[in-house]
Amino acid sequence: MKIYAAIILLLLLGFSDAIGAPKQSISIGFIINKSRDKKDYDYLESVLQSSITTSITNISTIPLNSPDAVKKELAKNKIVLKRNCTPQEVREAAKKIKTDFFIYGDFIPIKDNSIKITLHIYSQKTDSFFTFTETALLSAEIYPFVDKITAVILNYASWDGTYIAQTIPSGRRIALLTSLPDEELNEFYLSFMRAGYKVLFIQNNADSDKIDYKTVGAFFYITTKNNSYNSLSIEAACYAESPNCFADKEDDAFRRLYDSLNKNVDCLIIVGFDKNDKSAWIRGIDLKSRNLVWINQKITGSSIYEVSKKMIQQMQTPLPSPFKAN
Amino acid sequence: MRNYSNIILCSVLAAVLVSCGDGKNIRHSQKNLPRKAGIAIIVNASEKEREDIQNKFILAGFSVKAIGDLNQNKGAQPKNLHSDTFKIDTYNLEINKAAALHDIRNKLGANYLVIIKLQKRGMSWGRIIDLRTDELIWIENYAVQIGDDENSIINHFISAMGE
Repeated sequence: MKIYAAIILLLLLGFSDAIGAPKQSISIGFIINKSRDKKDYDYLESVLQSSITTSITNISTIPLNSPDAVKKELAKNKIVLKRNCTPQEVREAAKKIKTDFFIYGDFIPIKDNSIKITLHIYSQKTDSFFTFTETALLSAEIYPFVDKITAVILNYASWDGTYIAQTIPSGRRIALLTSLPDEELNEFYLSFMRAGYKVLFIQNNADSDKIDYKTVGAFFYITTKNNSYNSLSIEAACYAESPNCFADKEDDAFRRLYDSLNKNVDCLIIVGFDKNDKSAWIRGIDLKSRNLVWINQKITGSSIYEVSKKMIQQMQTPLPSPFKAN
Repeated sequence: MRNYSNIILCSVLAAVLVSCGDGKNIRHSQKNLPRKAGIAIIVNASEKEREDIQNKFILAGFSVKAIGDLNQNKGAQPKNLHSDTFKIDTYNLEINKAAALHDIRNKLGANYLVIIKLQKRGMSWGRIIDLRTDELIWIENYAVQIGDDENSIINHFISAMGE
């Protein structure tokens, strides 16, 4: 009964494409201590790797390769992933061991006896890198922190690359940047206004025609302060700290946009509709914290109005916790 | 022969009817435009037409502080479509727009920005932004009716915005 209820909820939330999709496999590569002078934290490498592996195994039937299994598989293919491997090397490794999602990352000790962990999820299907960051107090129990990471990984892998860090309830001030022009944009705004959102003036003047279903693709990949969703080339540029990595410029643009709106805006939501306006991808950025908080790869509907209504349902409802389902 | 003429006439009429009514009228108002409010207007119209439109709003009791051409905004669009540059250019455009709208409020004393796109056929649309809160407070898609012209569409919007 609970399963049926969950499926109905997910259908309402616009995840119909993900339901029934074959189970994706996850491989956990490594999580390393990035700090050079704090070797006493090295023990956390194996603690985090094994805790996350165990946490995923405990609640999910998704095929999982542990870090040891990954190493063995890579060795069979005569591949050694170094601690400072590049995104290109990660992609090659994922391809060789035929995994859908390859997870790797690092942590650094920060003040107040805490650590900041940065994890990357490489998806072979979309050839993209999703990066998210979490912090944890070492004096507190590590398991809630591990469970939080597990939930992000499993939701991302199970729901077709969806990430929702926070809900965006009715009443919030939102700036909508879309590929829709003219009266279609009004049709889109209608649901948000009816649902009680305060829609700001971003893009709602006449020059909306500067963004169409083709050019909106420029916003498909987003780099924010702590989270990002990138292509291999952008991820590689950021890894190499190359000028082609627009991370700093984009972060600066979000800061200036926030300032220009008198620091009185909650979320910038970028929506890329397809040519027929029947489906859309979404990127949501919390402009105050300048973090990517919402990724949805595809919401479908028979009209712009229906797509926007599904968006609102997702904005107001947290993703089902993989822990509660078990 | 006469039958053929009727068929052609009916086809033309049908095409006109379809083109006039192919969209769905929508309107949502969080707040109406108060009479005597200081407003700025952007509309796709020639200079002469803009003067007429301005007079209509004044006659309806609004205090028009400025009126501009909607089509002019097209010149501001980012030119470089290389994705990352285009992205940053677009953010910058929005930032500049915010500054411009705040100037309309602070320097011209307009509290509302009225945006209207007039279409001879299909759908005309309007929006109102409250420049004190930066929020969209009113939207309408109006399917152009047979017999409508720019005057009647403007009259419709003026009436609907103040309802």
